[in-house]
Amino acid sequence: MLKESIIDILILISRYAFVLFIFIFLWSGYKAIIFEKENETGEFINKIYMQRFMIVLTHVLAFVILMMTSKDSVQIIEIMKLSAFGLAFIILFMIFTSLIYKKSDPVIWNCILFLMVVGLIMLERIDHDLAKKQIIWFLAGTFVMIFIPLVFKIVPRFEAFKYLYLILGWIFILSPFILGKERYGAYNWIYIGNFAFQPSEIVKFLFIFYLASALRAYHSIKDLILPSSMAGGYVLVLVLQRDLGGALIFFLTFLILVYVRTSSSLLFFGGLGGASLASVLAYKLFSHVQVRVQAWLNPWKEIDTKGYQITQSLFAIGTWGWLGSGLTAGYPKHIPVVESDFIFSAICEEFGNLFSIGIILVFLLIILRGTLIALKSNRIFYSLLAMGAVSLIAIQTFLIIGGVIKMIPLTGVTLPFISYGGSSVIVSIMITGILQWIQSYYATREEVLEYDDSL
Amino acid sequence: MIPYKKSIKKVFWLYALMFCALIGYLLKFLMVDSSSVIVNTYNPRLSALEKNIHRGEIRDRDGEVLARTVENGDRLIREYPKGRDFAHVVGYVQKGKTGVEAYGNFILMEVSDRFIQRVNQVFTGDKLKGNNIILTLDADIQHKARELLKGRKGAIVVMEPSTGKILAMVSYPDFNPNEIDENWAKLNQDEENSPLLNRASQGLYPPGSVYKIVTAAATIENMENWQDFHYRCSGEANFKGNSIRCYNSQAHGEVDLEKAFTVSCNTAFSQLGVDLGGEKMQLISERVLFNRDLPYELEYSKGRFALTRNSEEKEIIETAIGQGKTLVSPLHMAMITSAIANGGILMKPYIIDHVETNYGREKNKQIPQKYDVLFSPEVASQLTEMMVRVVNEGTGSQAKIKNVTVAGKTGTAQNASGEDHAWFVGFAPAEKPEVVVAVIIENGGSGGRIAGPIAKELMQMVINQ
Repeated sequence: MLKESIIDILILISRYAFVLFIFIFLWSGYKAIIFEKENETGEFINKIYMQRFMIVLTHVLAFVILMMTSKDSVQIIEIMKLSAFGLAFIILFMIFTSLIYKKSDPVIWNCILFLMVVGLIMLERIDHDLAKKQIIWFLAGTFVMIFIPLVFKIVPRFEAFKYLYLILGWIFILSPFILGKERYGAYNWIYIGNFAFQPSEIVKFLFIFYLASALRAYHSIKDLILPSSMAGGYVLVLVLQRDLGGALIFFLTFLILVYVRTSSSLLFFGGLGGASLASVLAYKLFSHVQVRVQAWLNPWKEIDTKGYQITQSLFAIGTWGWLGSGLTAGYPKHIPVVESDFIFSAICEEFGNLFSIGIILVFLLIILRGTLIALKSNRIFYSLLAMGAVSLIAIQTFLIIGGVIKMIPLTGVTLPFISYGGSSVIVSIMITGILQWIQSYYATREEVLEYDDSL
Repeated sequence: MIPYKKSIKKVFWLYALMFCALIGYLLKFLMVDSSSVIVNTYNPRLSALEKNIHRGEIRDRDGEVLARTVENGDRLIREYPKGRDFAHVVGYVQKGKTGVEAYGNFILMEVSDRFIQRVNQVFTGDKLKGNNIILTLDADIQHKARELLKGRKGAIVVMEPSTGKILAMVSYPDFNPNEIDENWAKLNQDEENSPLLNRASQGLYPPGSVYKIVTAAATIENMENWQDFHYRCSGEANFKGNSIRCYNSQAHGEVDLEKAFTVSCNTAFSQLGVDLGGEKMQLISERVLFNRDLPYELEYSKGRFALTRNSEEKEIIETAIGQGKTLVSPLHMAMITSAIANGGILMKPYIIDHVETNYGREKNKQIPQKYDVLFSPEVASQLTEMMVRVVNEGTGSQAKIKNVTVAGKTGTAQNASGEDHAWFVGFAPAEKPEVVVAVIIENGGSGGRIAGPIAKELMQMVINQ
């Protein structure tokens, strides 16, 4: 009883601590940007270290709580091992990224690391085995990412292979029709042995390479015909596979990149209008689209069935208010697919909503820094590639957070860096790698003569 | 500046806007929508909390405990020290929740001063305690009211007209909330007595002559020379082939409005109904909350009124004397009476006075609120005058209190279930009303003789307190 009460108090206090950590993290990020602008390198580095310190503190405090609340001594040792493993990963990640990606943006690295750590904590809280696997995905993603600069060095002109990206993309995206199985009502997974992955995640990566190389040589509207039909094809295939979120991410990323290249508002809004028409059509044609929209419009009517997921998510977000229940004190396991699609609701529940607003701001910080990289580049291919990377992350994050808070209809996509999932984690880390490589490329060659970084 | 870089910036601002929208929507959900969302029974969190949190107490206005949670070994048990007295209004938690237990559920489960309570827990081992609810009800009046029913089916509402505070609300047949688990099947199946129903707010009865208050108000408002109204009562009258009789067919002779009201003359009021017509009757009835939501937070039934501009004369003459299809709850009649006592203004009735945290800190104090103007001050004072005459020289003489002017109206309502229902609504002192009482005794017979004395006892008790 006494021990329980002390743990209870610790959990109560920790709610304040986590909010404090994320806000110091964000504040340091903001100050770092200011110092960078004023060329105060020393202060800049201080702030970067402050951010890293917050990542470590969050990790350590959370795992101390997870260990203390665990009842079984075998389990405690397991958690302790995982925690140590996680800490080692954090430190190695910090070292390797700055060694291999010279002059890359440390703010972005810190942000994704923070998100990954929060995801790992939440997964350990929900299911120890998932957390264990997630660390392996972290390592795999980071491992692949480390080779990106090497590959770029060997193959200097990536814009030349647009047809290769296209063909590979089609192979991957069509593969579930041959190898696929249904999962959560979608057919966009393939299985090789016990290993399941979502080919559309890999296609994302190929897709931005394709678009950047195809749109690079834009002269007139005619040059858009092939990329548009290819993008349209992907979207159609994904809708047929019932991956509505994936379809939206591809379409919107395409639209954004076309807008960046052509600066044509007409094309942008025309595209949005066309998409709205297509959505209405999809609503009429596909019952799985209707289910999603109805669950969004009035989940309370069919709370047992269609509305179950979203209402459980809203209960988790709403019950505990600003500071949350405290880690381990909530009931996130009542939310369906909490480890992937609904992990944001679990964060709202246990870390509180101030913290979850902080998470949204961390994503915004990544988008801001990513956009600056796109602005720095003076080759259009790299600008488009960087903006493609930023857009994939931004759109996906918006879709899933907007979905679980019932702002928009729910489309089952993962929350980048946080949700459980091999394909999702590896591809998100790789996309960040591309972004950082572009940053590193320009920073080390001093090719950036002058650029306007005012937004 | 290369044009595509300008576009990149615009795209960034688009993303910034989208993410601010996320935050904005989340804030709106938390500050506006979430409180009504989370009390949904599908939220597993509330019932999970119930295992670990000591539900708060419900107390009467003097601090007497009406509901409390006690520990019995590992289990938490809800106890109702006043037993049957508060069965309906305070409610129960064992089989679904009702009454204040349902309405105040979140308050009772909400832990204030959480941090201090946790620290305290370390030293004492006490469970976390939810907030206490302090009601406007008075255990003594409530007990007295229940005694006065003497085991007859019926209901009583006692209110304070100047604030809207509900002082007592009883209903019989009742049940023992401490034994609800054991008796559940029996209570639930007893359709003849329906003991779980709170007759005071959910029971719907024909109002009989107490509805004449509304007809009289309609007359004063709509007939300019209502003081010149005269009618010769012969104990029975014929309206296009439909006959209306006075109580015991008593002939009241030559009556004006005041006299007709005082002696509760049916024929005269039926004539007034014909003169006014269905539309005007509908207008004033809906103003006094028939067919509308009542300003009341716990379970209740809406009053029903059927007249429209197209109603037939047969229906009008019956409705004007409170028969016909009109149905009303005792609480609703108490609200109408309360508005008259308060110069025409209905104060929003309430039952939760304030919330008290486990450490005695008062919060969410309910401040009396004006709900609506049901009558003009002139009409209210005319009605008061007539109601005083009812008690002093008319059908309500059994409600007379020595040295206090009492205003009231009796009703003896015909109904399908046998003997007439006995009604009395009234307030006292008429000059500066402190208490409103509405009484109904099902199949009790004469309102003046059966319900009047009950109201008298309760008014006297409140005034003497």
